[in-house]
Amino acid sequence: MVMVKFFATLQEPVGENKVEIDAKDVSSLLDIILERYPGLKPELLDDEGELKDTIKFMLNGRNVDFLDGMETKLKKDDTVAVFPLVAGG
Amino acid sequence: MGKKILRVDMESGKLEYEEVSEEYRTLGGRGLTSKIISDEVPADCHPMGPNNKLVLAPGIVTGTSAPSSGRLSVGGKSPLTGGIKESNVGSRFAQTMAKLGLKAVVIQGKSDGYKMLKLDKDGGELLDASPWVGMGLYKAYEELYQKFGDKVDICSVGITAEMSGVNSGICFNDIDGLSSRYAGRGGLGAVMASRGLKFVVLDGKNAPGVEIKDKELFEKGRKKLAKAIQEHDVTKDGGALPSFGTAVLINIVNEAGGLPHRNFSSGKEDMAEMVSGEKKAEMIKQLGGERPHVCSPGCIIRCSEVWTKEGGKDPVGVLEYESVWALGPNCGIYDLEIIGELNRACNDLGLDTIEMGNTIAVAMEGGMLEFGDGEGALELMEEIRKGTYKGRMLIHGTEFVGKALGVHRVPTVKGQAMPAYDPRSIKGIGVTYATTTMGADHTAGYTIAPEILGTGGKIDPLEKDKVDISQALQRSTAVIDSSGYCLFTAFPVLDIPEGLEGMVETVAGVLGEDITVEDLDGIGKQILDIEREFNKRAGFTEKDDRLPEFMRTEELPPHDVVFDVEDGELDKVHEG
Repeated sequence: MVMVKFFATLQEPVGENKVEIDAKDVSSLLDIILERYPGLKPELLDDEGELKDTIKFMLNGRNVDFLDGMETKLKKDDTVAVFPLVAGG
Repeated sequence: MGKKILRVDMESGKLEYEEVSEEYRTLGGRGLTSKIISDEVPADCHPMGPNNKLVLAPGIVTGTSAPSSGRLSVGGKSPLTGGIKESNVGSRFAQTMAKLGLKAVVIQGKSDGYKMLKLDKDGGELLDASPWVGMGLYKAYEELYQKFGDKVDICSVGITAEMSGVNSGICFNDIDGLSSRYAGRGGLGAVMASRGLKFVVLDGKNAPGVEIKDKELFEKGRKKLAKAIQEHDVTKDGGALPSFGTAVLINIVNEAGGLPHRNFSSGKEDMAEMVSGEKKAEMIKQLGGERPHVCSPGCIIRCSEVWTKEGGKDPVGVLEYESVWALGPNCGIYDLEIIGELNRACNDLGLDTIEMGNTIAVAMEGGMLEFGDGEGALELMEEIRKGTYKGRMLIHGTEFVGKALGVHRVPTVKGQAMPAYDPRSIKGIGVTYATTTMGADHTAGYTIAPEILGTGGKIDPLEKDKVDISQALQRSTAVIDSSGYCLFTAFPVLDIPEGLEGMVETVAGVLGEDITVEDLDGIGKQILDIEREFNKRAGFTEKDDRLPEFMRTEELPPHDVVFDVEDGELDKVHEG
C-alpha cells in the first residue's frame, strides 16, 4: 500500500488528508483516486479530461516530473503527496 | 500635478519639497530608493551615523486603480548587512503617500528626541513623539488613531529600534489600523530611529491623486492584468492564496524536503502539517478571525488575514508563511497559538519575524533554551521588552547571537538570516541568497516558483544549474519592486503573457513612456548594478556572495544533500 496525502483545495473533495491505496505506478494511482473521489475531477482534470499541468505528484519528496512522470513506479510504504497549484512566499 | 520629493532634515526640522529631476522621473519604488541611496549616502558610512539616510518611495503605479499595487519601498544602508537595502511592504500607507503627490521622502540628519512627521495635502510638520517612546506598537497605534482619526496611515518604529537593535523593521498599518505590516528586513527600523524619527502619519484627505499621462494605455493594461490575476489558479477567487494565505507553502515545501526545521537541521518533519496554511485557515474560522483579507485597498489577490485569539479577540494581523516557519518549525515549535503570540510580540516590539525566528533557533542551538520550547521563546520576547542584557543581545541579528553563543550552524548571508527554504534541497534559491545585493532574501529572485511550485516553468530543485534562472528572476524582481506591484502578481504574469503586457502598459501609461516587455531585463539589471556598485564601495567582494560553510558540509535530510553550486558559477550571476 502507498500512503497518499492530499493538500490545499484537494482535501475537501477527498474528505480526509491521507488515504492508503494500492497502485503500481502514478498513472494507475490517478485512475483509482478519480474513481474513488469523483469530486476531485474538476480539481485534477481540465476541460478535455486531461490531467492539469499544474497538478503535482510528489513521490517521497520528489516531483514525479523529474522522475519517470506518470509512469513512475510505486512500491510498498511509498508516500505520494498530491498538490494543486499553490504559491506564496 | 507632478510628484515631488520631500526632504526632511531632522536636525534643523526643515521640510523641503523638491522638483523631481529628469534622472529620477521614470523611477519608483526600489529603483528610486536604491538610486537615491547610491547618489547621496557614502557607502562606507556607519549605518546609524549622521551620513546614512532613509528613503521611502511608493511604486510607479501605486495610488492608481492598478490591481494589487499598494507597495512601498524603504531604502537605506543596512545596519544588519552593511550593504544597500530595499525592504518592501504592502500597506494603504503607500497608496496615500502616492496620492499626496510624494514620489519619495528622504529622511536625513538627527533630531533631539523622537519626532513624528505628519503630512497632508498642504504640507507637513515635525511633532513631538516622546509620549509613545517605550510603548508597544499595538497600543501606540490605538492612541494615534484616537488622536488623528481612523483614516490616517501610520509608519513607525518600535521599542527595539529605540534600543538600536539591528533586527528592527519598519511597521505600517493594515486596513484595520493594526500595527502588522512590515518592511521588516535589514534593520531599517534602527536607521529610522537613529534619525530620531518615531512615526510618519499621513492624512490623505482630499489628496490630489496620481497623475496618469496616458490614461487609455493605462486602462488597457489594467484590464489585462486584472484578468490574468482573476484567471490564474493561484490568485483567482477560491485559489490557493485567498483560501489559505501564504502559509499554504508549509506543506509543499516540507514535502519537497526544503522546509528548515530546528535551525536548518532537517528539511522535512511530519509535524509541519500542524502549522500549515490549511490548518491555519481552519483555526481562523474557529477562533473568529478573518480570511481572506487585504493588505491594502484594491488588492484582488487577498492573501492576507487577521489571526486572533478565541472569540476574535486580540487581533494580531497576518501570520505569513515566513513568520510561521521562522517562529515555528525552525524553532521546533508546531503550535499555531504560540506562533501567533510570538508574531504578536514581534509586531509589538518592532522586529522582523524572519530574523527573530532564526535568532531564537540559533539561541536554542546554543543552549539558551530547548528546541520546541514555545513558552521559553515567549519569555525571551519579554526579556527584549524589558531591555535586559539578554534581551538586548537578541535584537542584533542571528549572526551576532551565533557568535555570542559559539554556534557554527548560522544560516546567514551578508549578515542577514535565511528565509523559509533550505538551499541544499532547493538550489536555485541558494544562488539567489548568495548573490543578491540584499543578503539572504527569497523575494530577491524567487526561484521557488519554477523549482517547487511549477509556475514560470518547471525545474528540478536538486539540479544545480540555476545561475540563469536566478539572474533572470533577480532582474525581473527589481522591476516589479519598482513598479509598485505586489510580487505575487508575478505568478499570473509569469504564466499569462497578456498579464505581463498589461503590467508594462500600466507603468508606461502612468509615466507616458514607451516601455515594452523586452525592456524589462535591462531595467532590472540597471537597478541591480547600482546596488552592487554601492556594496562594492562598502567593501563587499565575491567572498560575500557565498553561503555559510555548513551548507556545503552537512547533509540535509531527507534527501541528504549539500549545497554544491560551485563558487565560480555563483559569480556568473553578475555577468551578461
